[in-house]
Amino acid sequence: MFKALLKKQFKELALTYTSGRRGGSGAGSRKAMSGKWVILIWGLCLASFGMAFYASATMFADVLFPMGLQWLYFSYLGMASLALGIFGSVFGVVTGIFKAKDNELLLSMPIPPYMIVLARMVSLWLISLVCVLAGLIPTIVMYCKNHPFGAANIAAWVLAALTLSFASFALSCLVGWVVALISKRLQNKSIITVLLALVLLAAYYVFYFNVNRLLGKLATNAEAISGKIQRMLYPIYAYGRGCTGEIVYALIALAMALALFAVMYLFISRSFTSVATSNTGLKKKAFSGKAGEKSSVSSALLRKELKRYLSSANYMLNSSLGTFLMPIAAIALFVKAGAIREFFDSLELPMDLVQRFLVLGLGYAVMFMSTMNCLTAPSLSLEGKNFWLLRSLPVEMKQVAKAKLSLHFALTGVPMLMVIAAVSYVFRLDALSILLISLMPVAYMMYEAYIGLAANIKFPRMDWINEMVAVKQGASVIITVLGGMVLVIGLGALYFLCLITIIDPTVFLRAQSAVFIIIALLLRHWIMTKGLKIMETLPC
Amino acid sequence: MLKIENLTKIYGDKKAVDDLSLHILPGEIYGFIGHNGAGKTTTLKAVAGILEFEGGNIYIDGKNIKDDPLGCKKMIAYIPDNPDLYEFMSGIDYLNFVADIFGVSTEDRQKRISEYAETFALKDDLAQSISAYSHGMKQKLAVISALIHEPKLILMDEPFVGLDPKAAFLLKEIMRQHCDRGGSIFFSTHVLEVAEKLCDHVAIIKNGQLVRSGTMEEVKGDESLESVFLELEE
Repeated sequence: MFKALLKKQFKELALTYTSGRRGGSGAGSRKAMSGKWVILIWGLCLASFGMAFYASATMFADVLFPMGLQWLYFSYLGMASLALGIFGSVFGVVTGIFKAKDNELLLSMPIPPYMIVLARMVSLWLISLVCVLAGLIPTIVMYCKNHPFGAANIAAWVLAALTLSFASFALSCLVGWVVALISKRLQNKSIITVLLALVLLAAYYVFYFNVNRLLGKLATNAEAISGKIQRMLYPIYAYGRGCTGEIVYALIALAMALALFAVMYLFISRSFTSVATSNTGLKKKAFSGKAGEKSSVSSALLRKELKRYLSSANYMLNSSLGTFLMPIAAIALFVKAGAIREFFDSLELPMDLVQRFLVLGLGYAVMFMSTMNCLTAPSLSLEGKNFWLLRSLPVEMKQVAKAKLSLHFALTGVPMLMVIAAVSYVFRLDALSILLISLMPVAYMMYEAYIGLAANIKFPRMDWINEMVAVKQGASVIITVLGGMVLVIGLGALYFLCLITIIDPTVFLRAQSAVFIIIALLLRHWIMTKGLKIMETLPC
Repeated sequence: MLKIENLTKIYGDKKAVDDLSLHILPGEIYGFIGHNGAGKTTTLKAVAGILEFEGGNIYIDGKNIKDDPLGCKKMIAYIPDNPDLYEFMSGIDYLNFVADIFGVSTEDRQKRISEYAETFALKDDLAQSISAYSHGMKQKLAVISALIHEPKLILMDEPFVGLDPKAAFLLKEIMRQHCDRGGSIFFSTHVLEVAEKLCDHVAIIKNGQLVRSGTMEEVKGDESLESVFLELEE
């Protein structure tokens, strides 16, 4: 029975991360992205985390290795890997254990709940392991660069990987259980998921940007800090000692992680049925009796797009992180305006250099923040099984397309204006400079809106079961995000490597903006002619 | 009201609908019956304008669905067999959305939503998210959304599935009233007793082809509709 459950679980996982197809043929599934591309994208994401870890490992190694505190090196970076493991698997825990669509089906069969939970946990634990390895491997590589190692070290590192993965997964389950409980009591369940993700992201950035300060403290107080960890955080101490090749400590750390996992497993399997199947506990909303005011077709369609957006944490987090981060950045800039001005004044840069490159740099900075938004790229795919509604109602596909574009412009443009206002205030920019730093981000926003929609029309994924397939794994999302990155980096590299001495930065800024606008207009033309015809023939 | 001429729809190398012709007049309830996979849903979707077809023409109140799809859609309402509605909306939000698309005035939608929500006992649930609705509640909501803009032609694919007996009874009453006011209904069903009692005309489709059509008396004669259907299926 357990083997059958595991087989189903792994098949589901494979489908989720490769095609997630409902089955059948048709335009909706014909242009699906193959599994190897998804694996490639995952690989790229993990590789980028790995590179960031390697950079951090270098900094910690420089401070701690000369002091002979190799275990502390492993402990600190181990905790960062643990955090990465939690971040990587917590959302999978919520949707994969507590909100899995086949919970009720499996519970109606003669399968003990603990077995359902265990089968789900095994497949999700693998995701934790992969995320943890993204941090652990660079840590180990840096260690090996500076120290000889033998079989004991290798064995200890295998145990370390298991320790971190079980510990991070256990903690993911705890967080996931809390999230599942809280979200049952909320009308808008997406909000809690978005808030959690933002908190975790903020914690990661706070750690990342304070690494230098942390290292400074370590350098001066290493003995005191290591003593405290040894007394008060013994599991972390044991983990660190184990990673240096002391197998006994490695086994102690693993035993503690397994104990934590066992406790979480017992707790979850006992409360699983009630959490997974109980009624929401939400108070029933009373209907006021009022129907609502008449509004135009375009307003109705835009309102529908906004409701769709707000109903999905996946959509919000994966396609519009900029919408949340830009206002935060704007507020931070306003608050830290004085300190930023002091910093730039202290650099005592030549005025002409500042004038030439500041505008370009600021334009890039604002544009970079808006690149995290690609709302149109999955928007058509997200219609999914509801697309018959738009096809059967008397609405033009042009109106549908415009509503999707409008959502992107509203949710990217407004936060972008906030950042531009903040930047203008901090750097006391004149009207022309404000116009110039606005030009590139606005042009890029237009480009991203149109390329996202065009790509989604060309490569729709209408037959998904798991929403994540439409939001993260569709070819349209890959083309929009990666294509944008390649274009921005490519043009930037072209300028800085070849044209910097020939073309003034503000001229390059205008030229790059013109490139984005031209591409955007061409894509708009394609959408409004051939694209709409394709939309009218999509299966539903 | 609805004229289907030589409709042909091909999926791959299979003709899902083969040279089908039907004529539905204003005031008629027209039943469409056939075995699973006979082509009923394909026909209904083609009439609703959500499925392209390879041959033939479809006219709704004289307008060709290929030439003026929006004009045709403004006159019809389509209720599929398994209505996948916007689960991220509440019931009332969804009704307002449909009302906005059809340009229903504030006063009219207020009156009609109150009336139909009361009729189908859905009023207390209109503020809930559709994701919390049962299948029957979604079906009722889909019916209300179809009636809210007073279409000339209502297309329904197995409308009685999932409805409780009272709601099914009320739906039959509403269908009759709609047609008595000059509207038309074209619906598919597997419940032959309902078709026998309700329909003015009936068409039987088998493997994409129309095998019999006419008034209920013409089609079934002295036999029951079930007997006629089973004979034709052999």
